[in-house]
Amino acid sequence: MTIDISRIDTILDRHGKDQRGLIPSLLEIQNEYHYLSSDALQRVSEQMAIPIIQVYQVASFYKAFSLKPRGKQLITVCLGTACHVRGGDRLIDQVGRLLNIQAGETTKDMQFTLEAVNCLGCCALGPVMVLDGKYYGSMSASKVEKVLEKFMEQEVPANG
Amino acid sequence: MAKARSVEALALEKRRDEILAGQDAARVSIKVCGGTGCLALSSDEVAQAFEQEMKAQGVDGSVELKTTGCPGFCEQGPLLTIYPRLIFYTRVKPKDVAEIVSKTIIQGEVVDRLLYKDPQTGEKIVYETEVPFYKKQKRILLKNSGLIDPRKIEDYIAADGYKALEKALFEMTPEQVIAEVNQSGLRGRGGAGFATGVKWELCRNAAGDPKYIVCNADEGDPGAFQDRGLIEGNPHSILEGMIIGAYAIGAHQGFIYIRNEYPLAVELIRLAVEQARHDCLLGENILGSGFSFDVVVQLGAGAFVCGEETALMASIEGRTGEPRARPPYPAESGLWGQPTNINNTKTWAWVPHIIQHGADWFAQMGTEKSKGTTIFSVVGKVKNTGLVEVPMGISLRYLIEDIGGGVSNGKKLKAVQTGGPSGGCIPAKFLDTPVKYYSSGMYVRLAFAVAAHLEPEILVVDEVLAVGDAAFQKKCLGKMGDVAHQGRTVLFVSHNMVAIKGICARSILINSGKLQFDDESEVVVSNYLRNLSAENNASIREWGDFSNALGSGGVLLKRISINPIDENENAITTSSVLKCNFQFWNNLPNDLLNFSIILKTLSGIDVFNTVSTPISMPSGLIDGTFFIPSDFLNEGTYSIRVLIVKDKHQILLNLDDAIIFEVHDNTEHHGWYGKWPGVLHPKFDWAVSIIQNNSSFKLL
Repeated sequence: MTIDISRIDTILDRHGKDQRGLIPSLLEIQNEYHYLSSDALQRVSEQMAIPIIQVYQVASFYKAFSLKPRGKQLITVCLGTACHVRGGDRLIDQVGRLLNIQAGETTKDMQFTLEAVNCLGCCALGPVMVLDGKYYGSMSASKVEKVLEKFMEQEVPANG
Repeated sequence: MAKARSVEALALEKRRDEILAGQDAARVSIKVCGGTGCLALSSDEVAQAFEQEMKAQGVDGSVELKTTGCPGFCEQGPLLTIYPRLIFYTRVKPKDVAEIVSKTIIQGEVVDRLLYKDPQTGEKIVYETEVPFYKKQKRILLKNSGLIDPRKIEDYIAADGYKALEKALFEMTPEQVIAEVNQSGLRGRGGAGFATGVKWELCRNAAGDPKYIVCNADEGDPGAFQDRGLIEGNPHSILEGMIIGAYAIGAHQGFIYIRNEYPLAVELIRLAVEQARHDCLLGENILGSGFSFDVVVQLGAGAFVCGEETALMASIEGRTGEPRARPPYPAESGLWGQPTNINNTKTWAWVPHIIQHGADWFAQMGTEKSKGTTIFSVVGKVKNTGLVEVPMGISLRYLIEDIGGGVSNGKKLKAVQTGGPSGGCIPAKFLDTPVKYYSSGMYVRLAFAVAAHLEPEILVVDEVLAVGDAAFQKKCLGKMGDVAHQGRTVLFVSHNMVAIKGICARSILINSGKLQFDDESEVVVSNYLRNLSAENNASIREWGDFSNALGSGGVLLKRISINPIDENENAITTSSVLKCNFQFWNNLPNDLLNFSIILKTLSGIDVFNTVSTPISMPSGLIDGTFFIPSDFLNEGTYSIRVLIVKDKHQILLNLDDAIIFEVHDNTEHHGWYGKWPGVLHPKFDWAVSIIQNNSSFKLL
């Protein structure tokens, strides 16, 4: 997968070449490409003059970063304490069953990635699921299918 | 020392007056919650429906629609409050909107089915202020969440926002600001509860420039969303607190470290920063006062550990968020090695309130040691979940039963988890324990009670016996014994030798992080004591002249010694007669003085206390001696504490471990070699005599 280096450079310019800008830059690159490719990390290392090992260290330390390609839609299911006691695990199982993946995996057509997180701060509404940036509170396994259907319909088959 | 208000400050005041003059208290205002919680329940669609419906029914000109931050009662969302009557609707759906506009807004009638039903009484409640969830809280930090639009700086200004900043900049010196915060008794809301004013002072006085301040909004504990609620509801209050704090500390750069997982809070705090910059409340020369300060909003990248301050700073610097050992504390060496002050979001949000209303106002709330209110996220299986603000010192029962409405599904409450994963589970029987900052002793006791209750596989007990009375210690020991007898492991960390020997079969000695001994407890303890005594183990200590002699108040200790009176003996043994000698310079010729000597074992048991007769002594060098008889002390290491007392009660000098010495037992008594039990091994006079001589007496 080739990446458009110019967009990375624009991001790096915005955050400055100081080490302080590393995490904000990586977050933005991740938002843009859904993951941090080795090419992207290499570019960041060169441009910021930070050793590649250090860039990898940071990229692999923080949970927000993915070094594997992720799907277009990120589905996040909260398994924090409050969501857990209200059935977050059943919710994530159901999503996994419907998409035929497990937590941390991406569907073959690169449409969806399923992630478990530890708290989204919506504890009063547990269990919570986030799909495409939208929060779904008081979810249940039976409601999952309806929510996903909407997104599955929009799905454009990948052109290989 | 009030300075004249600047043009910019006067303009801010004028702006506030104008906004207030333009507000009509009688105007109908619909407040829809736009916090993450209600958004998850589609409150945005409700707001859109209102916009359309108000137009359709022709009231869009006269009625105001406001999207507010989180009012806290997330369970019942989306929430709607209609001002000025404070009619409170819960679980509002877009399809309800037309009816609300026609019935409530136009005709003034209440839509019954949208009212909140009290789960305890079954009664329907019309007004927000009557809902038990709100009625039983004391909302100060959260007061404006649900009232103002967090996207509009005008709303904050109208609610007395930035008034405290103006007061601080033009009426107070930085020192006065710190004094006010100090006097209020505000403690950090992040968990450790360190006194905020003291922390600021440390940072202000630390050498180094520039100084930094940080707002810790990396709220990672599952179940907690107080910071999120506060930022989404009233972001400017946090900014204002930070600017005031920066002024007090002398910092010109601040960071808000906020979780990436809170997109709405990030958006709102960023917007607030831009607005504040635009209105001369951030940046160069704030409000024309000459003070400059700016803030960077820095996103966390999903590392729970970054809530810890040193990890957080590493993350701001662009490194992996790994905590480091303290000291040095951030106040001395924080971001990029510079003095840095880190406070929690809620702590910063308190600052404007304290500056505006004064320390005494704040100190009235809460308990003696824990002032003010605090915010809880009440979540899980209770009827009313949400954000709750209550005074410090209330009980968990009040939080759960009175405000939370009790456990849902009518089940029995077994335990409450507090403080997120780093906290613990509090069993139901402790529900009446007040919520506050505990003294370290009380905290350890509570923690032990909880830890022991949880039936752990490994019970780690670190110096728990250092606190608590004898009864508590006895209970602890009993509990630890139980755990050990159940085949579980007790890891006991202590400096109490008696306890170690009593409890542990195996001990390890760690010195400066290195393992020194690993053996049976008896062996390790005696090694430890020998090592320790080697440091102070001189049978004579002398301080020479006045300049380095110990003491004050007219007496200066010159010399202490202990040795066998028989000069041929080169080691102290159980059969030595010991001579203890003290010399001090006296400058109190008119006072009655006496020595008081306490001898103790190194494991801390006092063996005896002997005192000399109080007498008046001339100025000069005074000598005192007493003798310890032979066959009195047991084999072991002892230490001597010296006191010089004036008029039988006033202690002039008190020197612990003045001298440490070892007593050896290389003699053989009655065929027994080795340590005799007991602190002492005295040779008492025994009288064994024959009462009746009867040679024919036989034992069967």
